[in-house]
Amino acid sequence: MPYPVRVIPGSDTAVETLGLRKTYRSVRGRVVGVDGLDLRMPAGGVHALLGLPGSGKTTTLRLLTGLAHADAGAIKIFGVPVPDGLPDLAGRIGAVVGEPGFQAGLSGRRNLALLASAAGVPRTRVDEVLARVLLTDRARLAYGSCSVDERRRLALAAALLHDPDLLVVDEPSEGLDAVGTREIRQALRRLADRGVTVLVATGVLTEAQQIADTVTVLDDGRVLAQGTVADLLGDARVSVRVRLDEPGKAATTLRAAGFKVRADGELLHVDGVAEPADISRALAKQKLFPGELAPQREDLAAVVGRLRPVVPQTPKVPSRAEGRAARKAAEQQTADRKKAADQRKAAKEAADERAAADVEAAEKAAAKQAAADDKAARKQEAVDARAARREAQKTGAKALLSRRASEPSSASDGQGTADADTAKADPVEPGPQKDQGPAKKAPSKGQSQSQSDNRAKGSR
Amino acid sequence: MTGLLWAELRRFGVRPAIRWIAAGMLLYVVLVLGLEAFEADASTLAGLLADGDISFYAMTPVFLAYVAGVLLVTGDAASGGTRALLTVEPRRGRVYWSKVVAAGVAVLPGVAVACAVLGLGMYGLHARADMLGGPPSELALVLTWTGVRALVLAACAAAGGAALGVLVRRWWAVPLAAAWFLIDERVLGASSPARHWSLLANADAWVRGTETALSGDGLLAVPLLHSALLLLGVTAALTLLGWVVFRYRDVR
Repeated sequence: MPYPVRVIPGSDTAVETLGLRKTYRSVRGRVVGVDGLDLRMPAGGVHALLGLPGSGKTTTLRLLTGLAHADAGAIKIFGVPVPDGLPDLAGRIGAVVGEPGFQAGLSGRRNLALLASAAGVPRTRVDEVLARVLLTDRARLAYGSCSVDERRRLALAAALLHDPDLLVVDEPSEGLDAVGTREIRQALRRLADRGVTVLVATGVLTEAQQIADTVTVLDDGRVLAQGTVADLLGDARVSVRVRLDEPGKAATTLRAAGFKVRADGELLHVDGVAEPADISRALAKQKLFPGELAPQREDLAAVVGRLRPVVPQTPKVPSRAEGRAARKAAEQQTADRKKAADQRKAAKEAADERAAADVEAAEKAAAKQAAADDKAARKQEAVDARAARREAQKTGAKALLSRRASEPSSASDGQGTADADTAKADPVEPGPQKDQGPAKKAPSKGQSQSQSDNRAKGSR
Repeated sequence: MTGLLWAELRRFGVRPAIRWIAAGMLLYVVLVLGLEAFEADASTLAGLLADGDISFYAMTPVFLAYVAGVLLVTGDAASGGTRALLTVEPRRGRVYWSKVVAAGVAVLPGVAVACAVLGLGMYGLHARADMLGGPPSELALVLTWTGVRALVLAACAAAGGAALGVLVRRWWAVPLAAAWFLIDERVLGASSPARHWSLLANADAWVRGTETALSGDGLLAVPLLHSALLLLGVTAALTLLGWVVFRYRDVR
């Protein structure tokens, strides 16, 4: 036994699954195809597996036909467990799942004949099934030159070779034009009317509404709802598109009034509306007046949205990995904040240092300027003092000459004394040329004293 | 089962790649004969048989048979065909064994024609140059048995190729084998003890039909039986492994 099988009690249903689970390996780990699929399909009529892409329709068909093995769960077809009992069902099931892999170089009839010989079906059956799918004339052409529609019908003919009790078809109208779609749907409906149980997997809501008697709506590999088409996909229900200025307030109002609302930007989609005027009335009570109120036929997404159970919001307990990630993110955030604060502090300190340096440089410049001014003032004072002394010396000499002129008798006696006085009055009297240098470089004590006095005056 | 086998053989025959392989096989044989025509008087036919030149020439059709076996079960058309077949015949064992047997059987006509053309051409060229090097009837018998053994080996190679194709599900089972042969020749073929288990050496010994040989211990070994058992064992192991995998693996 390839996988654990739970026992399903005997029933009259054509197909029944219990807790069917199938996962696929991918680069991101395990991907769930179907999970806990409990399917019940009555014998006879057309049954549709309806769902959005990735909901598990094809996986379910592959499991039913034995092309894939389930990880867990049980399948019964006409009461026979699958896949162990599939040899007993050989000839009772026909399937179109994916491309049939016909040889492009052979004609459609030849390809069917090959399959018929492999299945142990008499060759006369080939013409019968070709006639049933309306391909008798076109079957002489090479398969490679057939249109998509003809290829679809050939695949359907191949599935009918055994005259099966259960026909499984995946996406019957995929890639077909309007005429081909209508013909294949009519063919499936005719088969069902002849007593064949038809199981189609489709993502087209109208297809299920047109040909199916019962329907199973799948979502994320689980059964959302099962029942008759009239109950689940009735024509009466419409989806209404509402456009108005305050979509948030309108959505709250409509939800409070019991409508199922989906927000789509500034638009609101109200699903499962029996009477669109009810929406206007509910909005008008809150003084909300829609600019657009367009009733639309419900699409598959709306059906799935309507059937999807409303799960109450429960606080989600994070897993260990999520907790670790959250802690790491918080630590990272704290570290970032600290780093930013440090950077701000460092920038402020640098600015202060720059300001202090500027002040110091200004003070130094001011002091230097003051020293230069002081020096210039002292120099000027020294020059003034020298000029004053020279002036005084000239005045003294004139006075001496005039006194000598007035006292000629005493001139010879007082010569030495006058010289001594002159020397006393002008200690920096320029002497011989060779003595002038050292005298300038090393001023006498009296001169230094005089300069100091002048400096003190200047300072004051 | 007969219907399945017949359907697989038909599918095998109509695949363009198989036709190209058959054409390549015949072209190769004609090329070998053309080159041999220039030096038919260089060595006798008996000498060529003894030296293993003829068995070496027969190895290329055998490898092409392996390629055909791989291509029978790989590619989109083959996957789709298997899927369609399983929907009408859900017994996986039957489907698998029909494919393996069909691969083994389908290559026989092509390889038989190639071997026949090669053997007749070689015989004709050397007879014309009067370089047979032995009694004509005896040489004809040896050539016939060499061809038969090459045919059996080609069938085993094709069946093994189909099994390997089922295992890896990709056409690169072909270069995989080519890489293995390269390693076999360079590594196993170089060392004397490992040479006993080299696939290439044993295939060569099988096609040559070497009855006895002096082993390393000075004892007479039976290379033909050893090679036959080894090659058959490898083919059986490969096909059984393929069956187990095919039985439990999902069909794409």
